[in-house]
Amino acid sequence: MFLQPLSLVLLLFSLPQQPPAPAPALQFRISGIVVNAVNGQPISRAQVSIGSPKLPDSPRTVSASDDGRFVFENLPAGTYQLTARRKGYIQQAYKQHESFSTGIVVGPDLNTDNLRLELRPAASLSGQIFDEMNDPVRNAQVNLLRQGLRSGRLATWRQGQITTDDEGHYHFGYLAPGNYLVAVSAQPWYAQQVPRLHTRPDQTVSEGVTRPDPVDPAFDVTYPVTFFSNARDISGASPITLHPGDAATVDITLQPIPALHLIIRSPSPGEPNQSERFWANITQPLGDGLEEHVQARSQEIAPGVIEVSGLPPGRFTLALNSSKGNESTTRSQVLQVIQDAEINASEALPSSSISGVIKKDDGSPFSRPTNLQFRSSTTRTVLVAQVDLNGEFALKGQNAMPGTYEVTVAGAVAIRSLTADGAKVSGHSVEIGPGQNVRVSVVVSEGSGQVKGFALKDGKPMDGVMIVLVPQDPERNRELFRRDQSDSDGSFNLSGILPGKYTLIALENAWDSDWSSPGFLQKYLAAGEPVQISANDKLQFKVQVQP
Amino acid sequence: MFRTTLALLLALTCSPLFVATLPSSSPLDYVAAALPLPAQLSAQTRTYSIRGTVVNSVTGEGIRGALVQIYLGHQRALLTGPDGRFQFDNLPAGHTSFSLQKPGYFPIQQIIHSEFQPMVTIGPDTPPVILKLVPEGVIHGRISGDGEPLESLQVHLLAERIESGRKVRSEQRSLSTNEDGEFRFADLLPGKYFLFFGPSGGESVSAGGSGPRAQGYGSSFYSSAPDLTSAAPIDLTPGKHEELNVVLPLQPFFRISGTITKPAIAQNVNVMVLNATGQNISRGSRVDPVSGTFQTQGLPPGPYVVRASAFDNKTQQSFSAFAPVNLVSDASGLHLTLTPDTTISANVLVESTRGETGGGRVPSSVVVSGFGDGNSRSNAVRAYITLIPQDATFFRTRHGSQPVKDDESGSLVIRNVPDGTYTVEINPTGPGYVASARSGFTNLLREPLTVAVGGSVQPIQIVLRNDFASLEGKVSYNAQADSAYVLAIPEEAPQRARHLFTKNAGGAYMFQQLAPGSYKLLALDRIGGFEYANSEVLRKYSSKMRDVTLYPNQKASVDLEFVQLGE
Repeated sequence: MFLQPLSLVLLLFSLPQQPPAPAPALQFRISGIVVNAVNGQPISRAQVSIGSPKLPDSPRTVSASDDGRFVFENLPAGTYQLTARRKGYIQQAYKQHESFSTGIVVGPDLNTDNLRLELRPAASLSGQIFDEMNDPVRNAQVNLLRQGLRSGRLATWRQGQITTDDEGHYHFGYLAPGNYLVAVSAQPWYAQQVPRLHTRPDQTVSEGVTRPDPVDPAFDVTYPVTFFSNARDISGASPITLHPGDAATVDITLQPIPALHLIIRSPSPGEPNQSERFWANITQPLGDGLEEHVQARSQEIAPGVIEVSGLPPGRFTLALNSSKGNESTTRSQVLQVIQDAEINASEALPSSSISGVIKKDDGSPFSRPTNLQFRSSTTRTVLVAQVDLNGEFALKGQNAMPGTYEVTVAGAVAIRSLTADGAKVSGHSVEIGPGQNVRVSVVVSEGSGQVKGFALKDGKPMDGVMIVLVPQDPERNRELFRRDQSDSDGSFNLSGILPGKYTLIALENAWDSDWSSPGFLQKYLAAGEPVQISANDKLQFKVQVQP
Repeated sequence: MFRTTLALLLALTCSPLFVATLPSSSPLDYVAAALPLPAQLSAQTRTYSIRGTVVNSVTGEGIRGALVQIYLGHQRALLTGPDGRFQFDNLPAGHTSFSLQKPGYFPIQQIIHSEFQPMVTIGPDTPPVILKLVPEGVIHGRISGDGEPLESLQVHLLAERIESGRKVRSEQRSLSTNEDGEFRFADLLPGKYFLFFGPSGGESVSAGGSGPRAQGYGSSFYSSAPDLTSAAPIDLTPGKHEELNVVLPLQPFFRISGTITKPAIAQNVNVMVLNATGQNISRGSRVDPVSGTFQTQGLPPGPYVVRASAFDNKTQQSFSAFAPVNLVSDASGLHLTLTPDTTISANVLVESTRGETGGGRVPSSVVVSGFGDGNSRSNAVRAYITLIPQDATFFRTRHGSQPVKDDESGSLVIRNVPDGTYTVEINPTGPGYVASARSGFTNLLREPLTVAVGGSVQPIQIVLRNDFASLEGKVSYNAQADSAYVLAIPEEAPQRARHLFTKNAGGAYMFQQLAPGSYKLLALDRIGGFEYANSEVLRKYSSKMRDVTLYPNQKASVDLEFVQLGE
């Protein structure tokens, strides 16, 4: 039932100075073998660790033998987390699924010998980026995106980002099996990204504008973001499927295209003020709310006038920042750029700042460190606000474009109510208008209920099972779900549960499924255990495992 | 694959439109106009071409796809063809330098640290030019131990460079080895390099009896040297790809434990273990906040300095303690007593003599509150002071001065300086020179500052003056040169040398403001890479070196003979 930190770093349980405790009976042991998850062969010399609050020298690490065997002796009774790592394999806990694993329960009448700890061979993805002259591209940004199930839903997320070396090489190691996309952004090394101020024949260049040297169009080029293989957006990208131990090679050749230029005029024209600063930040969606910074150059060509050079055609999010003394405003705009264009920043909608407070339903401030997420329904971008110990939060350095945002709170809490000063609220969404200071008040309930029990199959305890506490109307109450994995004695423990009606199910083969979708759950709810829980309830259940 | 290059060339030659519409207002036009034009009469109507080849300075081979830029009224650019050849057409007569670029190559100016750019005259019968690019150096390799590649091992690249006329070795870059134990540093200038590896984290092994023991890989310089003095330098010539495969021995790791005694107000006690380079190699040493006991994780054997530190947020006072440890087995019972770090006050006094008698010599100085016009605010910061530890480490902490709050006299303070010996660097913020810097009887312009354990340091008294002398003269060139670097090296502090670059001035040079004192003067083709603060190196040029002693407000004149340092 171990929930592990994503980094898979073992928690350090013990401090050097332990209060003297009655010596526990050190009569138990954990032993087993580390094997390759694909072919079942033993893995030699893996580093095997156990951790438990009951263990004074936790985490304890041993090196497995050449035939993969390991043993930990003289252990006090308790529940242990068992992990192993070995070069060439993904570090894993015993029967690990996502962030869950099976804890090893040690005690009288429990057999904790001959455990098979499986490690999956790590996959890797590497390759070279070339330019149109077949020369390697240095310092290209290579993005590795992963497509798959996340929290029981299909999603795309960024797995890593790397810069190519002098030979144009990139390498992503220690990858789990799955589907990946590769996207490259770079600028041609020879590109001359200087302003080429557009003036139509009937227009005169305003005074004070220095006319730049003309740039040969052959050098006024850029590379569009390029997805493998040779696509300009995520919809045309070819996924790369990695199996355990695969070492895939993906080379990409970039082709330059004429760069576009954007002229952006400051929102406060007229008196150019020396103390006023004005700059643009451009990002490009890679898809699914992932934004990539565009390596275009923006330069102030006259007071309050910016020219952006080196832009490929495409859809961009443009954030225009201006600051005057201590005041700063951001205006933002989503642009579809297909040719050189001139933008008057005053037509872009000023962004709003969002701040607020989280309180518990008894009125006290929410004092656990957590964060609040605002997911834009239009751009799918997620803005994250850290909550301080007084329950206060503010979107710092991030400005919200006008639009509708769905609010979620991380951690085992549920939003009870949402109100906002200066914005319209419906359900868990807040509608932000242009240029407002929105103050949001969120009331959350902390779950205090607990459900413990055993997963049973044919009357016997079963470990490694996915235990799901499904709320009513699951689609609208995603934050009410609780999950665990049964330990070696079949036990599980779900905590932080909010009062309400639930169904408890135990699923044997659901780890790689879209377990949170109503269609999937429909098949299992009927055979589950109905659970009604009130605040501070501690309930015990035996739940039958469904295949 | 060469098709694109050709297309670029075509596109370039087909766009003379830009040339026609160009307004000629560049500052470089004046330079060009000042020089005799080869075909002055026909400059408006006739156009010329220039051909050339960009070559690899080592192999002499043409470089494909190099960017060549020239400036004749406006900038023009092209990429060289497959054999490194290029040709600019439709050029007006004039003079231009060439700027070259290609990933993996350096312009020669960057190698010899010179701003000097040879000019080519464009006109009838301009001969083809050969332009050189210097290929980069690469140091790469693989580190293994116990039959396996070592992953995530720190690799530091140090380079020997000449800075302020002295040879210094400093860290250039660092990285961690990849899954296959490989490391790679590219884009390196020719020169002398050193590598420093490790250490790895400790791996636990079952040792039976006493429980698991840690072992791992220690840190060392290439190759297997414990310190920089015995390290093997890697001589990187242009274009050299040096491959180094290193096998490190597996070593037992040991722990250091002990107790720390601290004053009641000291909080956040932290223990670091510094190796020979000054780098902290201890990750996650645990200190018990109540008893003060600490234990490090397993560390490779070797000489270390254990440094404990603490901080009091209320008084902003820091505390520290050091103890050398030669780790050959588990070291227990180390005792460290935290003492408050020293706060040093400093005063900057400004003496001015300028403007009183129109630049003549003034017998006695007049103390004023600031430089120049009398509008200077008295509370402005007049100088920054930096204390640089005098030890052989690279990863060292410098201590900088801060102004004293609400103090109008320009007092400075350097807070929380641990015990040690420091070089004192003083940088005036305004137009002045450091006439003297003392702490008690210590002359900080010549001697280091010693801070004793828990001791106090005499306030630093700095006197700034602005009665600069000026120095002018003429450089007599040899046949090839028409520009020079003039170097003025103060005899007492060669690292504070000043230089200027003179060009198109018939060899005339002038230093407007030099601090009074004795100088050695040289006129050179370059100063980058010249170890002028080393008297041995300087002695070779003594026949062409001139000595001058400058007095306050003096205007001196010294003519110099050009010296070709070469490469």
